[in-house]
Amino acid sequence: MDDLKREEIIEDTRPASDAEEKSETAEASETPDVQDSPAQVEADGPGAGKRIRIENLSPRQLLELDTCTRCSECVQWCPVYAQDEKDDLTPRAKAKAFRKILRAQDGILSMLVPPDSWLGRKLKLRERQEKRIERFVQGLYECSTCGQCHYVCPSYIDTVELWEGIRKSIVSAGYGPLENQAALTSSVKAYDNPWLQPRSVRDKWAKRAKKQRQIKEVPKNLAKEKAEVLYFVGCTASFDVNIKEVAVNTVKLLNACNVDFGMLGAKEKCCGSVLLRVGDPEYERLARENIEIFNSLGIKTLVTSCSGCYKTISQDYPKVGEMNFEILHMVQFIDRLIQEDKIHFKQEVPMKVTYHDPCHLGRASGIYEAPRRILKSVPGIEFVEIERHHENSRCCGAGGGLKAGFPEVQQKMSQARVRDAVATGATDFVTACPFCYQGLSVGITAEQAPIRMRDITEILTRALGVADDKGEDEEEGSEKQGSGVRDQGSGTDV
Amino acid sequence: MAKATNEENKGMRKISGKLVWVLSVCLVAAFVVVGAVGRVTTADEGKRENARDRAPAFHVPEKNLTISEIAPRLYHRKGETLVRATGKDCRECHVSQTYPQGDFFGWEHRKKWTLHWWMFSLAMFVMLPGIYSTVSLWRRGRSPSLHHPVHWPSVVRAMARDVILGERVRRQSGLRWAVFQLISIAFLALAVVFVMIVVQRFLLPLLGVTADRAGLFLDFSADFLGGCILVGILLAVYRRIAGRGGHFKTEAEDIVVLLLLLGIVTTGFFLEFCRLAVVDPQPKIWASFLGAAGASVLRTWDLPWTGIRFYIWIFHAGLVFAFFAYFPFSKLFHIVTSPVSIVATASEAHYKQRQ
Repeated sequence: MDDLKREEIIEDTRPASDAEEKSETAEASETPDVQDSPAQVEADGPGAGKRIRIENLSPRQLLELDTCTRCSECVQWCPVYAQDEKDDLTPRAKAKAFRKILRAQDGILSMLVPPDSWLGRKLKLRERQEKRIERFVQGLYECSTCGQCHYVCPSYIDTVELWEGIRKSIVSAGYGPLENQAALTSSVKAYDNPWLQPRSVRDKWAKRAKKQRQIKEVPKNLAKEKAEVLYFVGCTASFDVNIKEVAVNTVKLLNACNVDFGMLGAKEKCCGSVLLRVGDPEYERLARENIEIFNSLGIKTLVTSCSGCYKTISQDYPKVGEMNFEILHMVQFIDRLIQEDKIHFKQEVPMKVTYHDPCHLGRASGIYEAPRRILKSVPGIEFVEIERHHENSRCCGAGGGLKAGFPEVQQKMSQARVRDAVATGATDFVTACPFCYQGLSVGITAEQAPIRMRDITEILTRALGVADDKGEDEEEGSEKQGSGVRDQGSGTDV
Repeated sequence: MAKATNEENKGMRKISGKLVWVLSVCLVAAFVVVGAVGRVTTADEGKRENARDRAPAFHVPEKNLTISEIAPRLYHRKGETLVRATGKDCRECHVSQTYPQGDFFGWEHRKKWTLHWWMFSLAMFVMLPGIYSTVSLWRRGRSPSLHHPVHWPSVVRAMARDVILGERVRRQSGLRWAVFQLISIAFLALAVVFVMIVVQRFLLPLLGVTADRAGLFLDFSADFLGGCILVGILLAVYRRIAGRGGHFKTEAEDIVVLLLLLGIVTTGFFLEFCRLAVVDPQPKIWASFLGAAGASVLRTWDLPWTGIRFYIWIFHAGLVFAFFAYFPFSKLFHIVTSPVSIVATASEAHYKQRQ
């Protein structure tokens, strides 16, 4: 595919201007046939008994609602319930409540006694259903979709996909998402990022990094040039001033490994994870556009250092469309280079570290060993395992819309995870997800914990000897973070 | 467009609502007709047999009637004294002067089996629409259930490891695993034994084959597995009591399910005790070791065990049919859905690992 055509595709999938964006997204939201249009939802009005779109779910998911025996295994492990002991938010209660809602709406009794019939009105069936749904929605969204419940469920119910499917139905009926979460989804629809930032500043971090001589060159723009590898930066690393180091370090790593790579720069769009997790049906439109762009680039591999983006692109995009390239998380990419003996860590990194498995990388994608292998191969690193790890990793609460909807619960969750890390005696707390980094940093600050938050790319740049010259400043910043005074960024919550 | 779809859906709902009404009425009518026919047939048989016994009424202990005199047509060849299929004297199980009015055939044919039919019909009348309603709800889902082709090796592995052996449950709790194995797997094995008993006692004799030793083994297996289920239920009750106060939550439904199972198993055993209490205590009855042990206790009381058995049988059947009726509306449905969920997840997980 020639460059011109590639550019055309990228341009075609973008609104011409911010002013036109909102109208375009409104049009797009009318397209899915299993969704009530906003106008329709509005016309129904509050309490009008909007129908939950059962069609958004799969027969298997509906069957799974009848599979749950309320055995409570999930409750014991749920990281959200551990911080906010409300029965409504437990997977057990959610499955039961939604089953009841569907039976009240589409079950045999609802057919025999419709809510609009004389008896239905006498029994106030509609009002009771409304109350039931409103209560259910609160519990549904007080969940980080971490997937722990799936990993302990004796019936292996695919809970994450179930909650996401139910959220989609709830949003389609106009009951969700919660107010704070709606701000994020609106931002994604309007600006292609959840941080309410203009598109033009998406690649500002790279220009600034070049200016500060952290990187030699701004990576190639794949809209104009060709490369084998696309580095998909993601919104968090692109826009959050405290997280941009993840992007900078990733670029340094790719450069150090002599990888022929490029980025989409200001033309990169959000992967749509935010929309998918809170159940916004517009996710599919965004995913389709991204797939079209990626396929047009002629790349062999897409690499990302964000676990959320990785999960979305590698696990969720294939359900929307086919992709003609390989998708790797940065830890997989580096691990592969190590296995192939293509990179060697030269410098000692004297740290005692523990590793937090991001939910999207671990439980969702099954990548547990690559980051551990990498950390253990770095000279000077003493690796200690945290209390709950691998598939039982305790979620930091940053994902699934929980941080936006219930920030106080997320903070308690991240504090609990930080306490786990501190208990190991580690000096540095490593993760492979900018989102977890952001979430856990909140916990470190709140706990005033004597531990530093690190992204795995930061350790690798040091081990490869490509960390920038302002090592002292960096250390100083880290110390500040450890003492709980570091600025925690733009306050963006997902 | 969305509005049009809504209208269509409303229309569909109205039609399906009417369809459910029509189906329900048809179902009731069918059950009434079939039930009435069944009742007439059994009553007719009862009448014919009763006519024979009318004067004098059937009193077993008065004369030593041969089996051919009691039931010449239904179960025996002329002159035979034993039930052809089982090789047993039918009085071992049924005939007793303590039967209501001493009228064995009247009560067996006109009351017991008629009642059985009505209970069965009622249970089916509740269970079948329940299953229909649930399954039709599942079928309304439009998203794909699986995103990849079924990976059969993973399905078979998951079936063995998680559905039958309960590997994940074992890792989580030994007690829960014991409950799972003792109830679920023993129940499954008991179903197999039941089929084998039917074959051994009813089908093989028709082919002229006797398998008495196998019969003893099956008696033993049935008692052993029934005992396992009983222990499993008691452990489940203990687990509910011991786990109170924590995350473990016992709802009314859990109690109903446990009581139903407990009722079915205990009345089942009591039926066995009563049956064996009135037959000759030959050594071979000890193949049903729990039944024989219970029967030896019952024999110490001079009570009309055959008559008591009649009423317990009705109660037992009532509980079994209540179980069937409750099945689609309760957590019991996971007996069917859980294996489906497990193997579907295993198949999908295979592709995730490959990624």
